[in-house]
Order: sequence, then C-alpha cells, then structure tokens
Amino acid sequence: MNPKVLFFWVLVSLPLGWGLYQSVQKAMPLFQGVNAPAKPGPAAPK
Amino acid sequence: MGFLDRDATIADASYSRWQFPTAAIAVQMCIGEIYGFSVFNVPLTRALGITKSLPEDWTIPMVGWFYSLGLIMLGLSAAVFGKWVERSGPRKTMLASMLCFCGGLWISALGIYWHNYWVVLFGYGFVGGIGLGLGYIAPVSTLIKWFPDRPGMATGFAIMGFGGGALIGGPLGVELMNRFKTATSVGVAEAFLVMGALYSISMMVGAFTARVPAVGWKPEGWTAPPQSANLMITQSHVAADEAIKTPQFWLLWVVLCMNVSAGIGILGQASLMVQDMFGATAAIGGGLVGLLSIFNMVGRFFWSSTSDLTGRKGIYIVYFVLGLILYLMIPWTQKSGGVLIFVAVTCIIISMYGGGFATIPAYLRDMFGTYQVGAIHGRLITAWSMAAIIGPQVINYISAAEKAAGVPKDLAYNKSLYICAGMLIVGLIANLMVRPVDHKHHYKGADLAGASPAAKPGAAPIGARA
Repeated sequence: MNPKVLFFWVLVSLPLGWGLYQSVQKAMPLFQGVNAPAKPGPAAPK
Repeated sequence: MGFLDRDATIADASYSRWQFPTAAIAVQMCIGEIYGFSVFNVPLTRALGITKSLPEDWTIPMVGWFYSLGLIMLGLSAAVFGKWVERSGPRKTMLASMLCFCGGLWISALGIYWHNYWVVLFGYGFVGGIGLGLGYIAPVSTLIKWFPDRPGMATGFAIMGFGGGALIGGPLGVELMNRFKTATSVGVAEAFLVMGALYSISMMVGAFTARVPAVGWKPEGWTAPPQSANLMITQSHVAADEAIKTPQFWLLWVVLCMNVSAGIGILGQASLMVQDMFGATAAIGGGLVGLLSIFNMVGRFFWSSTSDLTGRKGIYIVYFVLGLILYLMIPWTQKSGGVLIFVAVTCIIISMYGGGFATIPAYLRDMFGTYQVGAIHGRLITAWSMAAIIGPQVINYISAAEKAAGVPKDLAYNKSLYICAGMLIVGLIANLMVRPVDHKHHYKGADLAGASPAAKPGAAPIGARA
C-alpha cells in the first residue's frame, strides 16, 4: 500500500481505536454480570 | 477561494482512491459526536448549582432539545443543501460543515458560560445541526464515484465513521469535563471549546485530502456491467428534483424510515429492557449499551459491504426478515431466561440498524445513478428525522403506558416489540415493491460532469490509480 495512504489510515484508526477500547471497557460489566449467578427476574403472571 | 471548488480538487494520477475514505472518516467521526451527547445531559442541568440542580438550572427535557434540534437540522440541511453539495464538491462542503459544526460547539460554549439557553440551542442545535447535515452527505457521492465497483463498501466506510464518532464523542466529553471541572464550573463549556478545536483539525485534514475523480475515471480493469446484466443497477441518471417524483424514492423513504424506527426504539431502551426483563443491574445495562454501540458501528461496514455481493434489495430483505424473527424472539428470551440470547439478538438487530443507514446511499445509486445521488440522499434523510420521532414513541411511550396500566415490567415491552415487527413487515413490503425507475425520469442533460463513466460511453480510464 502507498505509504501516504497507510499514514492516513493509521491517523483515523487511532481515535476510532480509542473509542472502540472505551466501549469495550464500558461493556465489560455485561460479560462479568451475565457469567455471575443471575438474580431471579421478575415473576411472570400466571 | 478557487482552491475550494470542485474543479480544484480533481485528483491527479498519483492519488489513490483508497485515500478518500480516510477523508470521509475524518469528518464523519467528528460529527458522529452528536450520538454521545447524552454524557452532557446531567452536567448541563447543574450548570449553576454544580453539585445539584437549582431551580434556575435547565431541566433534562430542555437540554434534550439541543440534541433533538441538531438531528432535525441534520435532516433539513441535508435535504435543502444537497444540490449545493453536489455542485461544490467534498472539500468546500467539508469545510462548511467544519465551520458550522465546530462553530456551533464554540457558540454553545459561550451560551453555557452566559447560561443563556437560546444561545446554546442556536449554537449546538441550529448551527451545529447544519454542520451535521452537510458533513453527513459531503463524501457520499464522491465515494460512490471512486468505488463504482464496490459502492456499498465505500459508503459503509463513511457511515461507519459516523457510528465511530459516537464511540469517541461520549468518552472524550467525559474525559474533558473531568479535567476542567472546578468548584464553579461543571466543565461542559470548556469541553465544547476543546472538542471544537480537536474536531476542526480532523475535519480540515479530511477536507484538504479529499479529491474527486476526473470525469471518465474508472478503476483499472473495471468496466461497468451492461444494463441487461442487472436491471436493479441503472446505468442512467435521475436528477434530484425528478427523483422525488418517482415511487422508488418514496418506497426507499419508507424502507429507511421503518428500519431506523424499529432500531432506534431498541437502541434507546436496551439498558432499561435488560434490567426490567432479566433483573440485571444498571452497570450491566450500561455494558449492553457499550456493546450495542460497537455493533452499530461494525454493522455499518459489514452489512453495506455484503450488499455489494447480495444486491441492495436482497440485503434489505435480510434486514427485514431476520429482524422480524429476532424482534419476535425477544419476548421468548425473557420467558426462557436467556439473557445471553437477548444480548446476541439485540446486537444483531442494532448491527442491521446501522447497516440500513450505510446501505441506503448505494441503493440510491443503483436506482438513480450517480449524477445527483448526494442530493437525493440528503432528501431521503428526512426519513431518519421522522424515524427519530416514531421509534422512541413506540418503545418509550407504549412500554411506559403498559407499565402504568399495571402490566408487569418484564412483559411491558412485548406490545412495542410486536409493533416494531409490524414496522419491519411494512418496510419489507415497500422493499419488495422497488422496481427500476421508469425511463421517462432519466436525465438527458449534457452536464453529467462527474457522473459515472458509464454515463459517457467509451470514456477512457484516466486519472488516479486504483
């Protein structure tokens, strides 16, 4: 790939990668939470 | 200011078409900040009280109008300025977008400093919203011209950048507010000033590295398929004013509106749904929102690129049929206690929500050609504005009414989900009704400069490298 083009791809990937990392961090409680013993959900009506 | 004109931005032979998507992303990832606006909601309601809201402070519904007006202006400005964007080219449009979007941030910073509601509304909502609309449609038409062989992938890049902007804007806003927060300031005005400065740099880099292909340019070794090969991809062109007279435009308007309405409803309520339906904690709800943002971004590129293989009509059939099945599965996941299945289902739904945004410009190109596809896209974005009203109404208000009527929390979303499924059926029918545009609408003018090489039979491949 043309080095100039590669440079610009790296340039835009840095902030996008940072944003992606932040979102993965934000999503971590989800994975920890769903692997933990689940609280019983609200009971469905009979 | 001739260096801003379209003619001054025609690429020479050394320019690689793979550079243009980076220019598009550099702009889109800035204006996508609007989706991260919610991090400013609470601080803006404490601009005077700092630690708690005072009676003179703005309320959440008041602050919500900054965001809402921004999105309304996005749709309106894209529709109104679409033809100007086509004439002016990406560089001038990206710079105009930068001036409006970053200028809007700076005006609103002043408004926050003065605690003047109308100045913030004017800055962030009105001026900034015009910047959003210009920036959103600025690269679309040029991307399609650079990648006539893969228009879905090309528009997927740009619209993915907008989704990525949401991932950046929220955390960046939080970081900056934490840095500037003092005993007398919540730090929002300072955050807006810095964000405006950072975004202006990125958007200027995008504007000054943007190039349009020379008339007649085409990728090396690529020839436009004959019209008879696929009737759903036209080799003719339709002007923007004529396009809105065709049933195809309005069918695609319904397609986008239904796909987005259903998705917006889930996106806004997913955190609450996982808490109400599965008894999950607020932290898990927040985690789901983070995961959905990733799928929203990735889906834009994945599905739109896939549409180059399946065809645009085919991929929307997938969005609607698979979406319908998944929406109907959500109540079942609650009954079976399958929180992981719920997470997977909502992630796929949101990926297709993003995919719908990214695929529509290529669908428009297939139907109306490249002549004024950016302007036509701008007008179609009004469907997004409508969806921004319909979607939250369906999920938020109906589920709230169900709860108020005494329906258990875990079952309160079922009616909304069935309505969303109904919307997808409407979208599916509209999509199935899309046929090639009648010849009487085709543009016959001589000014097809910049239109696809196929518009000029025998045009030689010139200009930039593939």
